[in-house]
Amino acid sequence: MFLITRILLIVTGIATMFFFSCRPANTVSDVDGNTYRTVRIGNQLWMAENLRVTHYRDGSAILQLPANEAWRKAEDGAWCDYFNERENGKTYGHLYNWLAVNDVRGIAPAGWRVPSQEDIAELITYLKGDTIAASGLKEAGAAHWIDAGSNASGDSGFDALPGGYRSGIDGSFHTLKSNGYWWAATRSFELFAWSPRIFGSFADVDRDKSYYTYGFSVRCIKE
Amino acid sequence: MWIIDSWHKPPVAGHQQATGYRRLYFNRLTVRGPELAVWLLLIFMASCQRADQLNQNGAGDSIIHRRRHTLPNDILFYIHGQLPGSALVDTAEYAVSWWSFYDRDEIPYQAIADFNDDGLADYALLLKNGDKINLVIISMQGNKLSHWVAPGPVANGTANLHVGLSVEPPGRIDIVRPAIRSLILRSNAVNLYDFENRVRIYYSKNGSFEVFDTH
Repeated sequence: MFLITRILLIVTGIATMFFFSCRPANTVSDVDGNTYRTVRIGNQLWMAENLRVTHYRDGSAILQLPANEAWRKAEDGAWCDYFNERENGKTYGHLYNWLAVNDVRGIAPAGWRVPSQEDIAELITYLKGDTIAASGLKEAGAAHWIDAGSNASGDSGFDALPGGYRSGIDGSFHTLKSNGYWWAATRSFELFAWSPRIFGSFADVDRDKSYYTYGFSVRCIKE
Repeated sequence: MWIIDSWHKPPVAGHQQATGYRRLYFNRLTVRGPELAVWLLLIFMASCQRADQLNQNGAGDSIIHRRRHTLPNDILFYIHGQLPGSALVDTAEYAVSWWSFYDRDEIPYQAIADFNDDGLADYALLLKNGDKINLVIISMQGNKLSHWVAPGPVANGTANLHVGLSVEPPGRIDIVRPAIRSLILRSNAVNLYDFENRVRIYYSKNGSFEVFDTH
């Protein structure tokens, strides 16, 4: 009896440790129940997919604004899919304006956050500098990125996709499959099909508040 | 179970001895249970490849910073068939001083990106035709290629070239001289450079391309 008890204890212990060591570490779920792959790059743990959540962390809804005029005039956080097509949202994630990203209710899953500029700088440093970082960050192959000769390797596992952007001027959509734009805390960072370089000059809400209503993708980082 | 058996050599054959071995075996299993648990745990953890631990190599040395891109055969055939007398410029035709501004690993006579927001690659190329250098943008229209030729040659003569192309991403372009003007690019566009000076931007508008002088 003592032997059986001991064996049961051992098996139970192994099963418990297996469960905790494997299952939750490589995915994270948002408040809607969407599950995202994660990837460790250096000392950082990133989502390996663009955010698709439609609620803030407290359960309140983020506005979905398909109409161009409503998008342009938004004064609250909002999301949309590129061309308002659901399939684009499933593949490339939703596009969010900065008001949603900056909302105190939190857009990121619990224990995660929108990256700061320092987070992006650390990522770039780990990937050996801004002139080549994009190659490792972009998903390899031509399944989503157009072939413009930038030789994406996908080495980092970040699997960045070119979700394009939505203009805050008129609500129009641009550059799907060619350019990817992501929000950091107060600025965007960008990857282009035609360049191995990571850019960070498109939107800076500290300098120009008109970028509040631009729609970009979001990648979260573990706190 | 035979893992443990391999650790402890079985005794010689014989019913009594074999029985004794089995007894010993179970006895050792109880003694070595915690050790077995540790081993199994290690095996589980090693086999359970955690995605968040797979990418510790950063960009890696396999990434080569290259801008060289071989044009697809479709584009080369199109130039040959639809733009008779035209041929791609050669890097050997560039002025020596051009390379003091630009990396020799880059190709100055082509820029590839989606310029018309259709989700497909477009090709902006400098083509020589006689002693003229023209800018041509080749795009996919429906399921076939078409092209747009920029008005006027961008250079005359095919020796000591000092004009080149690059991609301009979406953004706002402000020009202060000779008059203040702005251009908001919503899609990628084509920059034309004369040495280090940008002289023109070619951008898509209403299904065609327009020119914005920056010089």
